[in-house]
Amino acid sequence: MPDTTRKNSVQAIDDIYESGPETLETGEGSPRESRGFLADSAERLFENRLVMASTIVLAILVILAVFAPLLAPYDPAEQTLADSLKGPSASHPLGTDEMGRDILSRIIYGTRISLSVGIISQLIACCIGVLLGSVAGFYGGLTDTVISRSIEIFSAFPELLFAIGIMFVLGPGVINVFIALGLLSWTSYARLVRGQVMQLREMEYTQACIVCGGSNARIIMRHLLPNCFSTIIVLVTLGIPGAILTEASLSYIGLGVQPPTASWGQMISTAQQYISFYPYYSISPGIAIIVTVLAFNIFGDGLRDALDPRLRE
Amino acid sequence: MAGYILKRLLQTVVVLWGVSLVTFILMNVVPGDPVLLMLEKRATPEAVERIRHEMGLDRPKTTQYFDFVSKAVRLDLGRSYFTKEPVMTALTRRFGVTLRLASSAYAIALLLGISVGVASALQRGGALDSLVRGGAVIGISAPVFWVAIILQMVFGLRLGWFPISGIRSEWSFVLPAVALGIRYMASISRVTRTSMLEVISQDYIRTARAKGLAERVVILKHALKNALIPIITLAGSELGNLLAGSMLTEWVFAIPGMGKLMVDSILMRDLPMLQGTVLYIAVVFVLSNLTVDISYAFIDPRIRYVKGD
Repeated sequence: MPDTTRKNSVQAIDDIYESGPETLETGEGSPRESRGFLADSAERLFENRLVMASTIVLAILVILAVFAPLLAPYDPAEQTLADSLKGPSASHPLGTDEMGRDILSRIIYGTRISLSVGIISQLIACCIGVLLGSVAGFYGGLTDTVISRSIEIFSAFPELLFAIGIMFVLGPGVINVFIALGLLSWTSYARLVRGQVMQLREMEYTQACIVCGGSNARIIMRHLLPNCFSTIIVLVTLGIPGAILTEASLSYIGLGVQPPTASWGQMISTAQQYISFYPYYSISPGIAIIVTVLAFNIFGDGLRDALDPRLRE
Repeated sequence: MAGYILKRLLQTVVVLWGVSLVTFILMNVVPGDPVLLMLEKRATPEAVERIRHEMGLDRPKTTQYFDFVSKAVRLDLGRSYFTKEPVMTALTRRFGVTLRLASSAYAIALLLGISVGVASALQRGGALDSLVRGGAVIGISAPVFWVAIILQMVFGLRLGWFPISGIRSEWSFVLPAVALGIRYMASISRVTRTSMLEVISQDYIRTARAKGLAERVVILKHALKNALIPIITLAGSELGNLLAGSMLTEWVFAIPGMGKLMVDSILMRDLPMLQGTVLYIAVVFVLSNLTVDISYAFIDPRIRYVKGD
């Protein structure tokens, strides 16, 4: 019997927590309609025309990546050596590369690499960082000291240097780029989540849940992490452009995605050999990188301002 | 103050130890026997065994690690597998080149970034402001190596103003420094703008103007001086990234600095050289952060209490 009461009270706190803002209505007679957090944030997000534009660009990029085989005019690996290094024309709007492959098609396929590297690496980093950060912030003491010192040690390497080191160990390839960039950026997630969890665990509702006997895992998963959600989403969005740039740099040096897979960084690396007589080749992949990174940066900044103004620089 | 510095120093020692451990582990989990990589397939098994013994690779990993650390503390990072040159000598020589590139880029970024940021804040909402803000976002989003290639094409090949590879003269540093500087200029101008806007709306600026001070004095002496703190923090924390960023720029312009040394040693699988370079750059990064933190505590006394308890 006492066990069920305990369960019930924990459940009750969960319920109060979940219904959260709605139970604390803006008050009677308030002219403001009650709306959910998401609807509210979405409105704030799209008020900004620049953010709206970046969202459209991102949507286009996602469509290009998903439907690359349908949208690309040519097979990105199809070689027509007779047509190599030809400038822009009606049949090849961005020209052809050193093996006569269509540059536009390769750029469209490159979207797949950049987007997947950006998103997957940040999800990996997010899982590691959130796990370690919440454990450090919640338990404190020795656990916190060990995790915090590890964060410091891992942030002691300049990003690109660390990425190069890991890629050297793992060897080139897309999957390894995911892993390397994931291992690279978990520290920023861990640091932020740790700080937030430390604050949140002192809140009354957390204390109440502890008193009612909620297990630690339950408190972290159901009460603390949901409150860090907007921060985490913003960090993921703002982490993606950095990861895309690092992937491009790795592939440019030759340690990232390997040919014949089309990746923007590696295209620039090849194009560099031809800059004296064929400049088109290096320009288009660079613009593709800038547009993608720019769209994520603007969208991420907008998302931060809409969801979590505290993160504003 | 002394307490704060001591605490930061102790922290740094722990971090440096961790850095040495991470570096050592990274280099020791590389697939493939370094001796076999070095000798390729020609060597007899006896010869391989002998070289392993000479290089101390047959000892337990823990012994090797302690040996690595105790030598590294005495600034001995071993010798290159290929050139047989002591790693430390090569690093010191290459570091000079990288430092020259990085400091020129840094100077460009600070000078232009701060002036552009101030100008943009003073004309908030104007055409210049939009231009600066737009330029800054693009500058942050462009890959350093691509900017470098575009500069090579335009100013090196098309206009023929500057050399595009190697370090034959002073002019060789111009394009790489600009390529590297642009990115940091973008972030510095952004922070300067925000920080200036915040300071300009303060009461003491109104007071300074009311006293009848010249606008130039109000902006430069009263506003900018107080707006500098976040800029210094950013500039300090970017120092290490600037060193890392110079790796790519060196690669594009074939400048024989640390970055080129590192990428070359990866391609040649020269482990001692690579291990040394990673450790060296990480140590420089950690120490520059330490210097920034301590000098920051001198500039802004509030930090000591917040950070140092």
